[in-house]
Amino acid sequence: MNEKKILIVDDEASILKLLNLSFTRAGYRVLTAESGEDALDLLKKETIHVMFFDLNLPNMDGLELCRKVKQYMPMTIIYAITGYASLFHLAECLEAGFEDYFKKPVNISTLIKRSEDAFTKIERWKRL
Amino acid sequence: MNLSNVYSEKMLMQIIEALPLAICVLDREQTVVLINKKTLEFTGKANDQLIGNVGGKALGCVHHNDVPKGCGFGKDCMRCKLRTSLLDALASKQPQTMIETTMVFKDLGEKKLRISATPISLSTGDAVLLAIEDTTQAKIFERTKMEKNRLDAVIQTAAAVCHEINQPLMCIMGYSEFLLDEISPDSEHYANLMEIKKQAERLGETTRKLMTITRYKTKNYLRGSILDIENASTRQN
Repeated sequence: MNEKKILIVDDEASILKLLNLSFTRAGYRVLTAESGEDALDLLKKETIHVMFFDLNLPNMDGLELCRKVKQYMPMTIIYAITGYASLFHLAECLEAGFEDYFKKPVNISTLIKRSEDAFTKIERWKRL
Repeated sequence: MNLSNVYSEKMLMQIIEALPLAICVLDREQTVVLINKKTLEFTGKANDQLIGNVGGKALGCVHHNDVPKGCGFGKDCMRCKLRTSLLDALASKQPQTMIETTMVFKDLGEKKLRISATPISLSTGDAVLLAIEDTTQAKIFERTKMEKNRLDAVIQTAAAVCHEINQPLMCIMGYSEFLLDEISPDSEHYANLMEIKKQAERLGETTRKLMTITRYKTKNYLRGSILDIENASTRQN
């Protein structure tokens, strides 16, 4: 099945709506969650290889969510999106397993491009 | 209670020597008549270089020989808080305490001092007990701490501003992109939309600079000052 499925996790409804719309228009099947807990529940039912997590989530933050997902899905490509991050936070992102990070505001076209790159990479891995 | 009835002169001298402050006793002519060990440490001078000399000369004040008459007569001596405290203590017979001042010494450079001048009576006449605390390092520490607190406050404010502004900003930029994709570049709205997106990106660049503030730097603005985002940030244009 060639359906490109992505998961977006952000507690900001307006951002979730924007990204949902953007990736849907770009031909992706988009799943969304407003918290880390909801995202983990969703991942029990769906297999998703590319994800975008906001770092500042209620209860379980984006870093913790990334560590948990990477534990049982190490091949997943996860990007961090953040409204504010110091250099220390960004170093922590890489350590947690994020592929890369984007600081808001980020161009939609940039996110879609990186998402395409992620799927290309996953396809290449599958062929190995 | 008269201390001399309880303690011997030797014991009292031991107490003065052990005090963590530089102690000098000056007579009415402002000549140094007694000092403790801390004064020797502070000035870096020997006992005979201090005793018998006028205060400013003994301590090594850079202004002590500005005029031929010596310490106490130069233009800067009129503003010298050490001198004023001594004279006030002698004249009023009231202690002058916790006076903060800055003095420049020939061998020590600029020093921040906290001084107290207490009038005392010696068998030879009125005198002043001068206690000098070198607060230079403490002031540097205080200033560094204050600057750090100020920077922390700026970084916290910047973080909050970035967090709150970047969310709606991303929506403005995202929806502008949608509309730009949908309308023709010939449309009268196209240029306006491009301008909205451009200004949103400009604002985004400012918040990125706010995220990388590493030092407290201000610039003049009208009659006050504001944070100089450009120079406080490590992010360059």
